[in-house]
Amino acid sequence: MATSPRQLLHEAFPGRAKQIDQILGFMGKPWASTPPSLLINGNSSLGKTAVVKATLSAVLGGGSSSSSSSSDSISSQIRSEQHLQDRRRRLPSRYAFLDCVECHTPRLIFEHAIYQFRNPPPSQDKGSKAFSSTHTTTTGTSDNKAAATVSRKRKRVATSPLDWNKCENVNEFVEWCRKICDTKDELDEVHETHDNHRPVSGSISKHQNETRYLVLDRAERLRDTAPTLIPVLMRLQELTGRNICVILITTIVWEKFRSKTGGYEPIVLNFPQYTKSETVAILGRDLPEGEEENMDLYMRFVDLVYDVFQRNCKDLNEIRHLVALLFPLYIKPVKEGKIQKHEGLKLHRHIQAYFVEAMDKLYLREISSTEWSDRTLSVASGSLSGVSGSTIGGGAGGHVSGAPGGDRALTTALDVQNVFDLPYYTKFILIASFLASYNPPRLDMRYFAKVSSTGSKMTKRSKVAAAKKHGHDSMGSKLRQQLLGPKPFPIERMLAIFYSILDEEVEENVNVHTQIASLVSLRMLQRVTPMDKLDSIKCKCNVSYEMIKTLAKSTRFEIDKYLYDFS
Amino acid sequence: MSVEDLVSLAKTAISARLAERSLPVALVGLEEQYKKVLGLMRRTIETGESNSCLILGPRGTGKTMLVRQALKDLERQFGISYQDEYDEEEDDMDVDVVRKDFMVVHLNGLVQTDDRMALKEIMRQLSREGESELGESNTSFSDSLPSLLTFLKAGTKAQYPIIFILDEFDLFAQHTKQSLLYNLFDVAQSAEWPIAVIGVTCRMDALELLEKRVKSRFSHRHYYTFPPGDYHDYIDICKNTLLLTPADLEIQTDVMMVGTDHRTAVAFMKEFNERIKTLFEDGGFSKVVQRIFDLMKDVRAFYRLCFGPVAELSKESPYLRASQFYESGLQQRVDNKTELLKGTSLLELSLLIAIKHLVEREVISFNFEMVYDEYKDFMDMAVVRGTMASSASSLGMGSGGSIASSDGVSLRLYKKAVALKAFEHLVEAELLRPADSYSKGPKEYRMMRVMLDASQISDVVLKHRDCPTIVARWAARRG
Repeated sequence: MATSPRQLLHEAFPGRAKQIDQILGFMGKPWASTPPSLLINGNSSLGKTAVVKATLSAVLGGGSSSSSSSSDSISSQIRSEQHLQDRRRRLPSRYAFLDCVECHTPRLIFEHAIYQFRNPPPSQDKGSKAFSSTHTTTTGTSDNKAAATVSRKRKRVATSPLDWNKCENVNEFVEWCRKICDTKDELDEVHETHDNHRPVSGSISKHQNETRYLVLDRAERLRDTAPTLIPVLMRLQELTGRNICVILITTIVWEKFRSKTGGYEPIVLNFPQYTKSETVAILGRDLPEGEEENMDLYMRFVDLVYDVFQRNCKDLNEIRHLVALLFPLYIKPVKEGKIQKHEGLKLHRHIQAYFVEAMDKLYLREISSTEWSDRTLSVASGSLSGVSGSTIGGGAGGHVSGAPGGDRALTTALDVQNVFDLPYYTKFILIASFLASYNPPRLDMRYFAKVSSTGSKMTKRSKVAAAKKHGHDSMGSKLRQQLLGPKPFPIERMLAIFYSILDEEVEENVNVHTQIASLVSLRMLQRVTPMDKLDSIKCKCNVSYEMIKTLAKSTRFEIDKYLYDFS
Repeated sequence: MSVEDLVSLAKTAISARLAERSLPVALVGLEEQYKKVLGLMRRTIETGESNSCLILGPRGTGKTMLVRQALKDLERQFGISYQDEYDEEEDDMDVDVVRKDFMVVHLNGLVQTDDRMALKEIMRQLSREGESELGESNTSFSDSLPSLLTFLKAGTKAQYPIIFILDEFDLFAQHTKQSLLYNLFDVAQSAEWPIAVIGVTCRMDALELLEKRVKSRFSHRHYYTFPPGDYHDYIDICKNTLLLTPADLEIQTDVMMVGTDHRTAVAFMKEFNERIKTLFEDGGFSKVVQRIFDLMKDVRAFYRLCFGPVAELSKESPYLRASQFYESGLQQRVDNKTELLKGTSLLELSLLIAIKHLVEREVISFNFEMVYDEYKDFMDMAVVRGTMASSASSLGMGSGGSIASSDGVSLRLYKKAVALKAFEHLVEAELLRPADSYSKGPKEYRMMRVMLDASQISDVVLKHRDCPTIVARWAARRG
């Protein structure tokens, strides 16, 4: 009986002691009345979901083998409490945990909640998982969920829990809630025998059941379901007249939830950002397997990563991802015996290039962690000399040349823009439509008019220069077409530009139109006029400047000369 | 009874009052309305007179509480043991034994979202009440209006009165044809069955929502509740909520109670209440309460403030302390948006500052490209000035300093793709919202509007944990 759930929770979640205590305080004893609703609010990956889940499962059973529900309750009852805990595992759950992404209609929310309330809480392994992995990554959550649904299905077969109940509207749900809260089970009877002085106060009924908790994760999605759902949930306690507490978990502020007519306001609990020591403590648990002897090196590395990235990356999951990606690279020279463990500076220099690159790819997750580790492994096993210096491009080249070839993995596997190829004329069609989308029509004469062949080059250049100059004057404004995005243009104008920028003659007009159609189907051009309108079609160019630049380069067309007010 | 038990009893009682599960000890400033509503209901019960009325008032001014209190008193007067008006379950067993003098039907506009559902609920509640004439079982009710109407119209004055409570009355008025309201008011007016229809709403114009035929059948009685107008009233309500009563601690004058237990309980209550009184005299505490009063006069705002401190009551600290309220007062007061923004990365912050500059130049809706351009301009300028290196090194990067300062990692121009991710994160946090509804075309060009005030952004920059001076200076610059 050494550890109470509170202590266990505190250990499991560094830096969240205050929040855990607050939640536990609000929960109080199993049958105490709670606030009608709580809103837990904070940026992503601050342990909101994990903390709530673990706290509920620790206190209300359904998981941790930890002791009693009421840590602060009468110590002489501990043995019976433990007995109680065992029983509790077979009893209907005291809480329902729903993800509003999963349950996207009121009906799904109601039915899932009822199902969870009427069946025993998910088995032990899930609870312990919540403890061990404090912060499930985004991918991890879905895994968990899948596991949960699988286990739920399996369970349904094995222990044949109560059936799935239909519940279509709020009215029925409120009715169900009353029914659920009023179900007396053996646990309540145990309580009754135990506590001869159960709270009887004021006008509250003398028989008061244990509090039920309805937790709604990603509650911001609730707003899309039904307009009256949030006010109802906020005052579910009042509507049902039972001891039920609704907990919303969200990343956005409460103001966004308010409805027009107002309603009951929840108590807001804010989860603040982790401090450095907290972050490092959490990251310290991710020590890869088989690296136990390098613990101090790992911690040093974590420290380093935190210092380098913390300003620009507050997302703990992202930092974890980075640590997982970069640590094998960091430790490789040590394993190969090139650098000694204590040579911090050398290691530092070795990893620096990767940091620069990782910074550029922050959050992008162009490749998955497994793919990454596969790649680093293959590079490590293969010959290093051949691959080294296979550049990544950009300013990092200087550093990279010294680094082994593993760095390639950080760059994109295949650059779609470079590989994507189009027929020759189609490229020009695309370039022409880009020009038509971004250049003002009034300047078309200047850029594309075919004046007499002799002076054409000269005049064109001067005109371009003039346009450039004009462009610089308006640089201060943020309403350049480049920034505003593509403008729709009539197909005829684009074709005129197309014939102008193409030096040779194109005979087959029909083919050009098929090419336009295929570009539209590729979504490189976007048709803005409705499909049933056949003449005076208008399109928009949907392609980025970078891609057009590579296209233009491949056709040796100097696009910059023809663009107005671009930088 | 140990102190621990007493504390837990006190905690339960107070939090039940805070959660509005139990009724307040006394009505403050609502005596007049209470008397009228009570009288109206009593006349329905005693003399079989049909009535209808509306209780109007802003949220949190005690409309529902008033009705609940009245019902509770009526129940007491007309003789059955009544715990909680929602708690029909309890009454079920003794329904056959105790003759009920009246029935209550609770409807809530939020829950019964259409007339059909409302009708079903009425049937359910009436049959639950065990009214013999109403039928033998639930299933014998067809959920149609006519059957209820014939039932209601068949009645005489001698029948059991029914009190209909329509919470969120305005939502019922939005049902198609308002047939439920029409029929209820019609029955009330034609005096066939003694019923009282009591609508509760926070919409002051609720009456205007009624159709003409419905309106003409309504008695046009309305009672208004207002938030406590006087600071002293407000304080009284707050104090009443926190003060313990003998019932809270189960102090009975029974012989059942053992002497010592009784004495400790009374002593605890006295001490607790004494502390509450001193608490209300505390300067800092009154300032917190006064602020709430000045801002919204909402009792619930005070209740929200109390939940935390009450939840913290334990054996070690059995009394409420003023310092707890300072903290929880601050916690409920902070601007959550700023709080949320404190945890954003430097890149997101930079984008917000760029947005602020755009907005100051009267570019109200903007897209990612514009913001990125503005951000790039700033970064270019920072490089040109050469302040980058100095600012990075002067700020000190701790142990990782060498990397950061040599490469300027701490303040670097991010690639568009990374910046776009950060931008999307801001959209996800709903700090930015799309200016137009349709979402065709590349997302970089989608026009957005910012949901923050320029002052909020500057505030965040000041409060942000590690914002380099150069960025802060950029944020402070105008235009």
